[in-house]
Amino acid sequence: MAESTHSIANHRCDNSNSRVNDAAAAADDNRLAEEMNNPCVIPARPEDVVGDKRWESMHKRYVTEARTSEPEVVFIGDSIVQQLQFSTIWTEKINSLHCLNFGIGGDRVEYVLWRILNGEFEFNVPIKAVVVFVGTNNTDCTPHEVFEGLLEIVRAVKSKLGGVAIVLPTLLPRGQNPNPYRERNDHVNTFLLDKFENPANAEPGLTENVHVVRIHGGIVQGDQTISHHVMHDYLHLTDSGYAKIFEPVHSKLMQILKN
Amino acid sequence: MVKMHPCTKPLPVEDPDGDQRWMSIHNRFLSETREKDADVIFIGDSILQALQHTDIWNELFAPLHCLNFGIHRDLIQNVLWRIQNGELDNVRPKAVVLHVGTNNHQNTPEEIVDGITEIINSIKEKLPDVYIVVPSLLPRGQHPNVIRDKINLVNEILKSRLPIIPKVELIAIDKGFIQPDGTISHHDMHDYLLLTNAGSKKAFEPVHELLLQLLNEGEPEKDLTPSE
Repeated sequence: MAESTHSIANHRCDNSNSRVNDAAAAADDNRLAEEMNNPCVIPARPEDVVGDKRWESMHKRYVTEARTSEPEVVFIGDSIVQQLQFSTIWTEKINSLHCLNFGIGGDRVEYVLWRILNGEFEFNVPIKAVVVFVGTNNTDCTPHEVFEGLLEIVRAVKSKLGGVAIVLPTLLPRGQNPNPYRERNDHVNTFLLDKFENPANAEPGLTENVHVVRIHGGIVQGDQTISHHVMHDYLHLTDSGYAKIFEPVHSKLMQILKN
Repeated sequence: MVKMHPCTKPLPVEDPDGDQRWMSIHNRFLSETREKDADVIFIGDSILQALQHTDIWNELFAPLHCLNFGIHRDLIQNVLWRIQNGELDNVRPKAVVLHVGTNNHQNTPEEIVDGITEIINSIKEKLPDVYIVVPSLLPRGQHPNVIRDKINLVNEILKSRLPIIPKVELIAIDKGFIQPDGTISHHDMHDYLLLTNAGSKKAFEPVHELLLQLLNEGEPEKDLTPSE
């Protein structure tokens, strides 16, 4: 049986037989070497540069929440997820689906990967859906690296929660004017859509019950700018920005929970 | 390791992410000074930017005709640069609320206070008659830590330096966040740095009270600041 292409990452995580038994495509030597150099697939924690241990505090709080709450939906990701919990669409619509919000500002793909594998996904009740939204902060990584990191996150979620529905909103554009990071995020989205929507790319143990939700359209205006009415600092969403952009995520969750 | 610049040297933010967001935000602030009249301008870092998205901003500060020039992650040097590069031109506010320093964790308390003083001087050059309100720096981190100690020292030094400068009002907003067991609650600061609605009420209602007095063109009452 071919070993998973992410065997390097395997050894760093708690033993998960389901991953070794994945019917993943065999890796050639080049690809394995590439993976070894991809920071996005190696679970990691950020350095506490300031000395106030805030990231660790939040992680521990989330671990406790996982253990003591009875959620049906878990959101995990970066600042855009974290700030979502203060929006009107969250308080009026999304949160009534019994949600937990495990967003941490500044988080990179590999930090979210670490958190999933180190306690934040130890629940006492069955989870119905997981929303994963991270990647924009990996500005030093290629689109392919970010994409592979997101696949690794999907594998990690499945290793913890089996066949749970996984919702992947597409990454959002950023910056007031055109810039390389808009294209970078767009490329990641192309990879995601191709992987999870194209039946030819179906991969047992990876692509089942994963729903990529398009949320990145309609943000960049005709003149190629992003308005501060949608993203107040050209990265983070205003309240009305959240209402418009996360509505498809809300709809998808309603669909999933109905079944 | 590169030595940290002293806080008195104005510095724009180099484009760390490659999408020019900081400069876009600065330029937008410049436009706002040309398009809007403001009685109060808030200028500073993450704490002020986050404040704009709390309920208390809409309820208490928006009615006072405020502009919020807070930028997440700004250092003292960045705020200094912004003031020297137009953000207080073309406006005649009655008060400026200055709140910056928490991100200068690599500087000493003395350097931080020197920087804040330099900002105050720059503001006075632009707006000689304005009141400058300086809320004390807030503690951070769930548990006691070295940065809290540094912030405490900064606040102590500010207490000895600022009261002698005319039309500068130092106001303590940091009391009531550290609980008896030494921790900060995530109900006050959701990430142990940025204020929740509840936390922002606790910290900034006193600032609102002070602004009301200043805008009514009186000197502030003597015992407004809670006693130590």
